[in-house]
Amino acid sequence: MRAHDSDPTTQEGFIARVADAARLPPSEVDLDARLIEDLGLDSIALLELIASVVAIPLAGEPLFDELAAQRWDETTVRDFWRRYKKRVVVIMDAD
Amino acid sequence: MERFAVPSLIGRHVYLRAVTPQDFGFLHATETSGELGPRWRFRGATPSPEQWSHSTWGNVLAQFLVATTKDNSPVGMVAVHQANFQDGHAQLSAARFKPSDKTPSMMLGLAIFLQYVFGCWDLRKLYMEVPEYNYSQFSSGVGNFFEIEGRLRDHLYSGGRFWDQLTLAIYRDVWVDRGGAIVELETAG
Repeated sequence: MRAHDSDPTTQEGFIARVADAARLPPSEVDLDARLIEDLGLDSIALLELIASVVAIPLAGEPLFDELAAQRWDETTVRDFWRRYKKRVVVIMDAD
Repeated sequence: MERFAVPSLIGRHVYLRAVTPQDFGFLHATETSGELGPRWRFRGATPSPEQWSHSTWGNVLAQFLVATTKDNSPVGMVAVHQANFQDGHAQLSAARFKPSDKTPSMMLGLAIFLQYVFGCWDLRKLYMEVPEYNYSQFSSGVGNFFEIEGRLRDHLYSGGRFWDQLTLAIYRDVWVDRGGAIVELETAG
């Protein structure tokens, strides 16, 4: 599965997008890995990842607002997934 | 008739504003001390206010501070200078005042600026001169947003060793194709 075809509202698809941003195989992306310190995402990769996962129907601008404004120093893949899931997957499930 | 579209300087998280004389003291201090000082253009030197002012405005086509919409705090500076309209290129510079800051604010500001520059002037490409020690902050963009078009080996001395200097190029068509979506997210609404 190519990362940009993956469905980020599933954990597998979300990890595929993180792996693509980090230029790693998905199998090497640990949920406890920190996006910047451990996976080595730089400022462009981080912004592309945020844009990639929010650019789906209903994810929308409020989520982009939250993600673009937060500090990412210690954020892990799990932290990001939980936040994303809480805001996006729940909205989509409600439809 | 097509509508005249003004490139926006205002995003959801950051906006660009002109540098005014009231900013000079802050900018001079920021550029010559602390985290940014050795990394950016003066590379540890401390020019006088007059020299600093001359360097800051020499050959500048457009220059802005990037500030957050939340509290108006400045996060960085962007500029395009040494424009060559005959050949269609110019030099781009960008500095994050706190290089250790990990929010996407500065990149969003740079994206708005690139949209502005390519919207205002018919430039084909923008060059950035980047010391090797700053490159890791955004190296993932190579091949997607910019190309490395030059490398001067061991050109710069800093932190007790020599470093390469890279010349990066951002092409208009590549930026419009790949950067537009990010600008659209930031400036929507």
